[in-house]
Amino acid sequence: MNMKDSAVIPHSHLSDDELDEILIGIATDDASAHLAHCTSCGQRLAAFQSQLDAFNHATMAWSEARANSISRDLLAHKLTPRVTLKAAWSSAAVAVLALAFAVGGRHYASETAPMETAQAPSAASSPDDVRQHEIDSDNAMLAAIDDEIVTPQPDRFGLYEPAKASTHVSQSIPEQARD
Amino acid sequence: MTTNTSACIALEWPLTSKGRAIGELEDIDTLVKTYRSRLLRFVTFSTGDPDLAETITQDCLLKAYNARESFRGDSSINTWLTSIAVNLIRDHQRTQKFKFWKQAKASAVDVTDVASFIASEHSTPEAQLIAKQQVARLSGILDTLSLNQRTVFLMKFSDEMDLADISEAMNMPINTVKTHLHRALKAVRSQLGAQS
Repeated sequence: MNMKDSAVIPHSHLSDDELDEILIGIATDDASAHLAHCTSCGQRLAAFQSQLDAFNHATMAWSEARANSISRDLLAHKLTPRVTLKAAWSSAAVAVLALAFAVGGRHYASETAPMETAQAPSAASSPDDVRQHEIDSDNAMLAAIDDEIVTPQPDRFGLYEPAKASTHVSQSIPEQARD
Repeated sequence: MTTNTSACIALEWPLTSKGRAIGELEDIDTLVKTYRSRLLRFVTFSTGDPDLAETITQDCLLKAYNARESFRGDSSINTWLTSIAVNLIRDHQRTQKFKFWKQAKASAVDVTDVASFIASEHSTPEAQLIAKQQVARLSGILDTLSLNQRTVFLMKFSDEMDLADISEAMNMPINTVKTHLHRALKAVRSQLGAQS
């Protein structure tokens, strides 16, 4: 039954679709006029509204209680600038690359100037002494890196060849440094 | 002169209204205090997952606060926040669809818990019991609707938004909103009728 029918026939009630239109707020004038004078349709509408009201009251009270129970610090914590995981990984990658360049450069310098290293003066507080100490420290670090790399690691296909790996290792440091 | 004066008067309300809205957005505490509960309810019953709803509500408020400069004041803050929440829900569904539904099952809304918050205005124990049953039933029926139907239903009948605001928040034509509302109401009424 459409709205026209319900308006023309005085005793016919609003259809479900017409009631829906009233609830949605797009009812025709005829439907609104019928509703104003029809107790039965008014009751149908009121019954539905009361269920909606009960739902809305309960859910709002529940939501308020739940929102209050959530720590207020959470939002404040989120507002403070944080280092994201992505940024942390980027920083770590940059740091590793910088270290690799530094190690590679020093290693290259120590290989190209061996005499200078050997002829360092013995004065404990001289700049050359400090430099020697740095070189020794770098060499120790390189040796440690060598040890770490020489440790057998299976390749991605599980075919590990120790001899090949160890020869590869000695040449791999400058390559890593270039990366 | 008269024309200029009336033009100024005509502009006064929107400017004041917009200024007040921007003032609300500037203060994160006011924003949270005013809109958090309503947003939490909307997202909870849209997603069916209270834990996920808390995360989305926090993200929504944070996003709004961070983007407060972009708020043009064309719509109310409520509509603007709701549209952000809708987008966050959609994003979540798109990116983690399977996890979303898995979570929705694992952390569903406890309707008994919600119904226990029924207003004390229902004086007699019988009236309270009936109201609790109504809340539980309607909550269960909302779960059976599609996301769009459920969302527009909540916007219209819980948040009392008008069709134009729903259309804006959902980013869909008004006629589509009406269709979703019609279908949602039909489903709700038929299921309520079948259960009663």
